[in-house]
Amino acid sequence: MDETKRVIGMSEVTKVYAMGEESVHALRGISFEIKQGEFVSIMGPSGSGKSTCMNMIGCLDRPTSGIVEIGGKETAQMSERELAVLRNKTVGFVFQQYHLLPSMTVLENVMLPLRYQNIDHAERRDRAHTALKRVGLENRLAHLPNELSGGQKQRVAIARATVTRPSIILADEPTGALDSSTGNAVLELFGEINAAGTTIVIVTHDPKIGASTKRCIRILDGLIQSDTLNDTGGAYA
Amino acid sequence: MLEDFVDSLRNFARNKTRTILSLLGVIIGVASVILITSMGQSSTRQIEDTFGSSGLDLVQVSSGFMRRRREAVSLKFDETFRQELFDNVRNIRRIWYKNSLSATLSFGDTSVTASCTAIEPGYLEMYGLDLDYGNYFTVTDDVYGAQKVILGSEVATSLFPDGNAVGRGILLVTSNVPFSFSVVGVLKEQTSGMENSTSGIYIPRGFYAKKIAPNPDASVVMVQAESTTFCTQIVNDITDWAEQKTGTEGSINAMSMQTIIEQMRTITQTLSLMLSGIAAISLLVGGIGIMNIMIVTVTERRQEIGIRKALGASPAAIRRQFLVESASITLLGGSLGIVLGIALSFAVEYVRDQPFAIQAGACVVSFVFSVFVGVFFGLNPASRAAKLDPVEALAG
Repeated sequence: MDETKRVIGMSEVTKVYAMGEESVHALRGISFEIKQGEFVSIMGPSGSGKSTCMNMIGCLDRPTSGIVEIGGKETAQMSERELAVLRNKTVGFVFQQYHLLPSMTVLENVMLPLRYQNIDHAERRDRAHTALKRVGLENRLAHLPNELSGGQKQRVAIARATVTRPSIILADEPTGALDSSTGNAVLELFGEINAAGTTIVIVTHDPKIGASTKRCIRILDGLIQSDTLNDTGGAYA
Repeated sequence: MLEDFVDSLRNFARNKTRTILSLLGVIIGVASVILITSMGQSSTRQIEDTFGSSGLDLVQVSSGFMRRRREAVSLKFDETFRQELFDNVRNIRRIWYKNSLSATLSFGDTSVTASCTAIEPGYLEMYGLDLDYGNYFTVTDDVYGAQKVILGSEVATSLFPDGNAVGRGILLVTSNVPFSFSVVGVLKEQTSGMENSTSGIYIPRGFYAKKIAPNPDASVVMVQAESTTFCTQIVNDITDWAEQKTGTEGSINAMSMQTIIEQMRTITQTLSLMLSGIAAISLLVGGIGIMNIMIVTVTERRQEIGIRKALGASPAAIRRQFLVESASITLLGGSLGIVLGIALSFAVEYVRDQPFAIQAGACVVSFVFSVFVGVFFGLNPASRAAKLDPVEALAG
């Protein structure tokens, strides 16, 4: 694992939000790194700072201080446009509420991230088709999202996250809106994608999911509480 | 770009009522521009059709007997006047004298009362009144005061229903004095402005001078200009000259078809321009409505914007998406407005029995303007969307 390259690097990251007169310290100095091919969960109760941490990894937000490095690039000084490129090519998002665009078909939803890469229409179609086949939805291409079940929607979202072949898949409570068996199926799918070499980061408050990933980073009150490897039960070196 | 357009159409389909309401402003604006310019064009064409193309280089001078000013001195249109007028006003080609009289024509049991004009030889040819058949007057006819007549088409038809009028002898009664005349020609029916090719009749002025009034003053003077462009100048110069000569205003009345057409055209154009301005304002108001609806749309679709940003849409891509969307509204509105405008113009002009005319320029300008309105009023909402913070936007 030491030879593989680092895809996420956080060093003394803080984030302060101004809420009127008061300032809220969401992150108080967090440092960790995630290497290519890891399967990590970031766990903590609501308000712990895990969502802020996810926004940092997803390049949706920039730190107040400290260094955030995604795919070997530091995000702090990046313009909105450069962040957009990073989100598009390096990170794939999966959300709790799926966040599919309701007016587009399943295929078009999956094609959407590629639209922002100036790839021609035929290739987008092919790649989206392949991604949907991988999640087992190749016969739902022309359906609209609201014609699908929750589990199917989440699989479309996973296809959309993987279609750009990102090095990181970032999932925010991906099973939160699903029943447990469907949730497990989704987690299995993540396992398959991870097995193919993609780094997966799941943000959750659910200890069961935290326990199912190879590595678990626990966050509380804006600080890292623990960073453990599940299979050995020991601390992450 | 094309996909942004397709997305926009989908969003319109999802919000039909709202889209139609926001389209309405642009549709009404564009349709009214087209309708107004079309009506202006149609009126101008109708005026031109009525006056025809003949006699446009003529200025008609008549005595100002209809004057409101009682102190005005009237002028005699005699041969001296003709020479002085010619010498004092520039750009005159020739001056024609005419006399009008009322006459009753009889052939067999049929009688027709017609407005009869005594003209100088060559006048009808110069005016461009064509003969259906027969001949014009010759100079000899004029010199000898020949009792020959050229009939308007309707007069000829009512006197000679069987056709051939030329060579027939008729009785012409004027001021209770009968004269025997022979018909030499019949006019072709045509738009003829100040002359009358249907119910008028024409006799040589030489006859008038010989039998009705010796050395007659003309009742109407037709001043022929070197070209139509001088008509307005001649009208003004004659008016000024007559005023100087008599020392009073309104002793004569000068007017030309060309000047009237020009005046009417100016009035129509000014009116069209003014109303087009109002229509343009209504387009602007429509644009403000679109800006309003776009701001609402951006607010409503915050989450969509957040999702697109998370998937890698740059601020420029988001801005383009919403610009295309607002331009699509006005593009649709503009297209529908053109169709509606043309349909309305056709209906209005059909009802008013006017010629149908559309100004292609007005269509193009109002269409381009409406798309421009869409882009212009879309700028602010689109950059609002582009500037949204992705984290806040995703939260909805």
